[in-house]
Amino acid sequence: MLIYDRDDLSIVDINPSALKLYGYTKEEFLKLTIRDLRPESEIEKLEQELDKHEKGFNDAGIVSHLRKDGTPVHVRILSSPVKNGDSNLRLVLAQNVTEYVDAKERLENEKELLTAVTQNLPGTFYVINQEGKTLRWNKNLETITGYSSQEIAKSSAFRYFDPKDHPKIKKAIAEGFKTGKAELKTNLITKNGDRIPFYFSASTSTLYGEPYLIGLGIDISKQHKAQEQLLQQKMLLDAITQQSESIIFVKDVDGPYKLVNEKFKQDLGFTGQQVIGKTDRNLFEPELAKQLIEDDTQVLESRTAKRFEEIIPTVDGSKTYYTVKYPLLDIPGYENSICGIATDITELKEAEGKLEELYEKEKREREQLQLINSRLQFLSRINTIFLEAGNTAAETLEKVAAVMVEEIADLCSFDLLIDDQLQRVVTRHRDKKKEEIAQRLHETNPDMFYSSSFLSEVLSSKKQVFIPEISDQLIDEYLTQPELADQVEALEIESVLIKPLLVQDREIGTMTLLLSGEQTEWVEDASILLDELAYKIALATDHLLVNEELSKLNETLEKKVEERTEMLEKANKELESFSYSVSHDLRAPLRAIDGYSSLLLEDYYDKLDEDGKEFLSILNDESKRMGELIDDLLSFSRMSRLSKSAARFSMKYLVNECVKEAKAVFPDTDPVIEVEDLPEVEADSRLIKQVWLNLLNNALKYCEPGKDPEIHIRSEHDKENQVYIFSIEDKGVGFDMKYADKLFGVFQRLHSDDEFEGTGIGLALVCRIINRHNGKTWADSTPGEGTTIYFSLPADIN
Amino acid sequence: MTERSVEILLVEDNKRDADLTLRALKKKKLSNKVVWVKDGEEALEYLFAKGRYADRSINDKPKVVLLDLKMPKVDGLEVLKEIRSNPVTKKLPVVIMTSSKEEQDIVQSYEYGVNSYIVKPVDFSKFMDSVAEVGLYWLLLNQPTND
Repeated sequence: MLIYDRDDLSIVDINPSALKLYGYTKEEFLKLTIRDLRPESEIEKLEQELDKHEKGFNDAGIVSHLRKDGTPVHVRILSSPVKNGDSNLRLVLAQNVTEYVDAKERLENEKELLTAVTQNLPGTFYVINQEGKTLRWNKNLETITGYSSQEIAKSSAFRYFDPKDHPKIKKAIAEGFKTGKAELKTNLITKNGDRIPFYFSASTSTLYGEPYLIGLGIDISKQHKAQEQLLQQKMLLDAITQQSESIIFVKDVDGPYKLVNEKFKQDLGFTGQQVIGKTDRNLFEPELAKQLIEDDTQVLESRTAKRFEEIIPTVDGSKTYYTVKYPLLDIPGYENSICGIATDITELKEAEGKLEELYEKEKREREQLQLINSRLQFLSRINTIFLEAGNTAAETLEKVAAVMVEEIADLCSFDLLIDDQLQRVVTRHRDKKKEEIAQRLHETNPDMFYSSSFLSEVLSSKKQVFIPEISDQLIDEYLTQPELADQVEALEIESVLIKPLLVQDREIGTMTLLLSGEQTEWVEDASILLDELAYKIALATDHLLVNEELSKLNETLEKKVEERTEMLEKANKELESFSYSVSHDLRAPLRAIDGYSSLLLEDYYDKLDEDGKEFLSILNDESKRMGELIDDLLSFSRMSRLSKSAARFSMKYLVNECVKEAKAVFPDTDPVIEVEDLPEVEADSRLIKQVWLNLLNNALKYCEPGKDPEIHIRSEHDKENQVYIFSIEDKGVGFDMKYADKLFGVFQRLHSDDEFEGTGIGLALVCRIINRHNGKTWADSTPGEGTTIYFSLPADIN
Repeated sequence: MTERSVEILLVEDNKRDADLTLRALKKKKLSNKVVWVKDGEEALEYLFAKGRYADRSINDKPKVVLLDLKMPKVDGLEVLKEIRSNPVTKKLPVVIMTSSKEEQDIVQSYEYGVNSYIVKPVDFSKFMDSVAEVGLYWLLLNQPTND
């Protein structure tokens, strides 16, 4: 108990129990105010209390006070005003309630903890009695069931379950009360009608002498779903694996089979028991097992899927499987199994095989075709060369060799038999440098196996030589100059083919081919073609050689003709200048003889006797005659020098002109001259006029004495020889045909001068003129009946 | 028209032919003023008053030149060419008298501008007729140009 002044709150009196409670001495205490008893935080509260309770007894409740040592003490304050004079005092009874307050606080804490636990439990918390009434529950029950706390408090716990499940629940509850423990899985039905699978567990407890079940219900819908999913996945997996057309299996990494599908069992003829737990070594032949295990090892090492083609014995015989194997990993990511999916590709394989076969066949055919084509092209290239005009044999072979080295050989050389000696005509190599080497070798090492002497042997044997493989030994054998070995090696000869070139068993030369690689095969393969080719080359070469020979001969001949012509021309010229000067120079003395004899006759006529006069007149006649001879001779020789100019003219007109002129020469006769229709011709009309004049002159001259001449001129067209044949027929004296060959010779006469005068030039001139017109002259005659002279002239092409 | 000292220049290497020509002219009374030179060279000297005839006048021209073709040294065609290429003698009448019947001779003579071409016949009477015709024509009938 203590008394304090209401005005200044100072403590006025205090009893010993209070001193004991607060731990102060009385002197200390009396210096304090009641403010000092309260903790800082309660000063405000104190002021309120003081204001409230001014009158009467007042229970201020439990407040906190501080002891002298600062420790709190819960006291229950009862106060009442005390009147003592003017002093406004208050009496305060403070009962220490600290222990009570602490106990209460602890209980509150426990309760709070319990509530927190129950409310925060993951499931529903409940306390039910034997009747199934829910006495306590947590918030979760409300949240999950959807019922309010009032609804829960009022109704039975059975309300939350399907009536079908009630017996089960009752039994469990009964079991719980009997044994002290119960658990149950069942569906909880919410206010909305949702069914949630729940797991309940409870244990009994006795409160106030009555037993209760205190339990917890956990929503197991999630676990339930997971299980279902698992099941579904398993079913799905089963469906997939069992229905699969492929073999599916899972093996432990150590080898034993853990799972195989139906197909596995069907195809391989095993039951599940025969396979599961067994390894490949147990199931298959050692070799196959080894291979399968190797495949597995690969998969495990690479940790990736791998594909294999495996040939496995099945109930239907051996089959090819296309197998994909991949490692299966456990949760931490380690390989624990190998899964394999094997598909039967036997038919596919067979089809592939057939396809391959077809493709190969097609490829072979195509290659064959290409080969034929290339051979044809090759032959045609060679043929083209033969068809080219104007090449010599050497040029042709040069071209052929060029094609050969392009198409079938490394080297191609030709040797021809010229003057009984094989002579190298062409050496061609693909490689210019090697060509030089080959050429040099041929020249410097005559004992080489394709040297002239060797080739000569081949040629005379008339059989080809084919050495498919040229060994070093062979080279050594033929190489007489070992220092050339390097060069021979440089040629890289693998095989050689030497073909004799023959034309009907006649030796023309040889063709040598040096071959390497595929060429050898080709050449072996194309032996018929090469035979043909060699024959063609031989034929063409022979032909060209003969031609060359011919043209050489021709050249010589032409040269000879030219020389002769030149000589002839020279001689002719000499003859001309001779005849020119003869005619010129002969005439001068003749003129002198004639001149002076004439002068003698004229000027000395009286001094000459008859004989003298006759002699002089003979001199005159003979010199004149000689003049005529010279004139005729001149005109004859002029013939060859006169340039011939051709033009078209009417023969009939020309002949008529000539007839007139000829008649004038023989004024004493009255000839009958018939001229038939004559064609137009193309010739030198001056010369042809000379012909007609001479012929008419002859016809008129050689008539029977005392008879008038009868002359017939006509023509006919010899179409076969494309000539016109003109003829002049007289009824004259004629001649004996045995002298016909003399008729057209110069100075040849068939009659004496006593019979008919003449120089013997006329017909020779005719013959010469007609010759110059590419015509012919001939005669037909019977003595006493007459003569027909014929000549021909080319008819117009039109 | 001036009086000419020479009317006929006979160029002939053959002395028989020359003699016969002169005789023929003489028989036809045309031989008054005939000069005979023996070849082409002499003919040119005479006509152009050179060498042996240097004292002659080039203007003293004959009425006609009777020219043989075939002569030593300078032949008739060359003489003709010279005559025709000199302005003074260019229009002088020239008659070729030759034994040659060669066409090329005839053609060439006419190309060089001969006035007449006579082939000397072997027959003397015919020869005489020819000479007479030439003489008559060129000496008596022809009217020379006034140059």
